[in-house]
Amino acid sequence: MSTKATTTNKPRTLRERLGADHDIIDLKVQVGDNRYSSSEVLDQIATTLEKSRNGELIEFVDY
Amino acid sequence: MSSKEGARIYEAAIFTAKAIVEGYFSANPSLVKKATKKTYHPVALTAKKKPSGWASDFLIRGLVNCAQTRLSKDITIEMAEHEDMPALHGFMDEDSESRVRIYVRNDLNFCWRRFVVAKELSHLLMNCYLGDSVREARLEETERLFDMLLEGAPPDENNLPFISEYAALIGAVEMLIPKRYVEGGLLENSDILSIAEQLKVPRKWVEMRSHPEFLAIIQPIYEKELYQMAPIHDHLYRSKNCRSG
Repeated sequence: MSTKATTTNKPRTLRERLGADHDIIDLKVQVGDNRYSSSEVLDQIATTLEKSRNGELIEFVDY
Repeated sequence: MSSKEGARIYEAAIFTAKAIVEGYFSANPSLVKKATKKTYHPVALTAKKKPSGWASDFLIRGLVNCAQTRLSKDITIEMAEHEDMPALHGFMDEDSESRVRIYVRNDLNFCWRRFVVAKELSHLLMNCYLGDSVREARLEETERLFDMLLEGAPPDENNLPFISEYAALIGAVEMLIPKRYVEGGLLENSDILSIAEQLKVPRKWVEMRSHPEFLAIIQPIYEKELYQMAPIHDHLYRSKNCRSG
């Protein structure tokens, strides 16, 4: 098994994950834990944005 | 970049927060009356129905609603899954259509979720006032910022986006524990925990609000003449110019 090959094939940036239409994305982040690398954090953001785009997240309205 | 510009970011955080929270009190005059009688309600972030039966008390407009009106932006708050973003408490995403989404992690308690949302709102307000200087418009810069934050680096006065992270915390404190409440005696006769429970704010940030060093930072900014806030109000009202700063 080649870990390197897996890593190489994985999209590395938000731009690659989300496509060109998110080019001017403006992100402000609150970092809650320092156990993660910046690429892992970007990956987590991309996952959340993708779920949001797919309507999978709950809107919270009572704050 | 000079430290003067860093100071400008802190001023922007406090002034914009103060402007939006005063707009909130203007939109909800009943809360002002109650505050003068030393009854302090949590500052609402989103609209809340008050089933009092009186039309005037039926709806409290929250800070997010006030910001939407002033900035002409569509702002929504969504709950992110803990397992999807364990490294983050929350983040804000603004697209080219002025749609803003604030994401907050669903496992945080109610007070912390409110604080995270307020902090991201502070970023949005600062962005609108300061324009591109604090934007991480380039994803590469965002990645660099992550590295700095994750490494626990001390505040770097040469990095405006980095400073804006700290400034937004102060903006959130200003919004959720407003100057109006503090001047009315909020911090005088109650313990920190009671105030935190009353205002639905994390206790840590109530402690911060009453800390002498925090007051020493914030007081000179409060003492600036009101006319210096005029451009900020102006920016917040002229939503069309938000992106150009």
